[in-house]
Amino acid sequence: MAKACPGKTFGLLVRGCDERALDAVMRESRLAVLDRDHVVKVGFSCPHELAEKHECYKPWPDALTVGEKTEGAAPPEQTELDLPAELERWRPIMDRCLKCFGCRNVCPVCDCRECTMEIEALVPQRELPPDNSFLFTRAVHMVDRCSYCGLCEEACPASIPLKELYRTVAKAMGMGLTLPGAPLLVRPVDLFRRPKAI
Amino acid sequence: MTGGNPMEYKSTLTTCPYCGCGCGFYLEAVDGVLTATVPSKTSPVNRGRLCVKGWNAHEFVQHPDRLKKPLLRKDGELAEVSWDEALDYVAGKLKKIKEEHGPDAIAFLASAKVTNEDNYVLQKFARAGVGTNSVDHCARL
Repeated sequence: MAKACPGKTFGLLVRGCDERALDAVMRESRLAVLDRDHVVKVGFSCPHELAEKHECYKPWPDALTVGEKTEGAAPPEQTELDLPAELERWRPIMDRCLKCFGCRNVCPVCDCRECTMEIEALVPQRELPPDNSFLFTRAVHMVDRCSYCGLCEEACPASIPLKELYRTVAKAMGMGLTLPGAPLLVRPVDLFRRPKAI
Repeated sequence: MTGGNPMEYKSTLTTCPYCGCGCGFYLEAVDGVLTATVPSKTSPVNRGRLCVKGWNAHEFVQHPDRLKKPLLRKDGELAEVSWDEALDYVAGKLKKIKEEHGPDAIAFLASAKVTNEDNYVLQKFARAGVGTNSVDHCARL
């Protein structure tokens, strides 16, 4: 909409997750049409029950306009990550993927002109179940962007716990519990550098 | 669009035309142009989910390659004709085939993209109108 109306100012109702997604989108230069000067956030906090149901531990936006902060869910436990074991655990879950692209389509921060998930050279196409790189690529892209709103999980016809996958991959990059906007502790490219272990 | 006239945004609840499941989704339109498909979370059929075809349902509706008028091949070239001419041509050909080779020389393939009632009418036409039991589904094409 911002593209259709250049120069217009938008008032947006934001909860905690909406604000995180909005900030992530505005941070990225490709969506320069939607900049901070043309967005007025009207923030309110999600009810505690909703936050609990969606495992959201920060249901309030920083730009709280109406009402008061509500209590969020307890943050997920920070356990040691056994990467090989995690990979084994995730493989059968990811094999359920139907490649409907629902997680990408519904994602509030996904707005690339060209999506890596559709580029043959990066992710093998026309395969079902898809190559593991299909969901992992998205998971890597979600690090520092994901607002943990849970829309992808709700849209997934294979009931893949995507929020958990993104959190696991974020954890592997040393960003386990941080929400988007925090500085990256480990850059994704560093993960593939050897022999420098993380 | 003029500066003083804001865009028109519309979200319309409708049913997916791709198969018989009947998933519910919202078609989003900005100034009359379909821009997105969003699954309906309250639809008991799909409960907020869609398949890859459903997710892209908004793309074919206004696609420039979509056929909007009947075409008839004349001298090897497809030419636009009226519905009357197209229907007369098809009916004439079907009649001729039936007379020359019998009704079982004709088969009917029903569609997943239409309603139950439309498919009922098709099989009725096949059986009562043409006189053949050769009715099958488009998935076997």
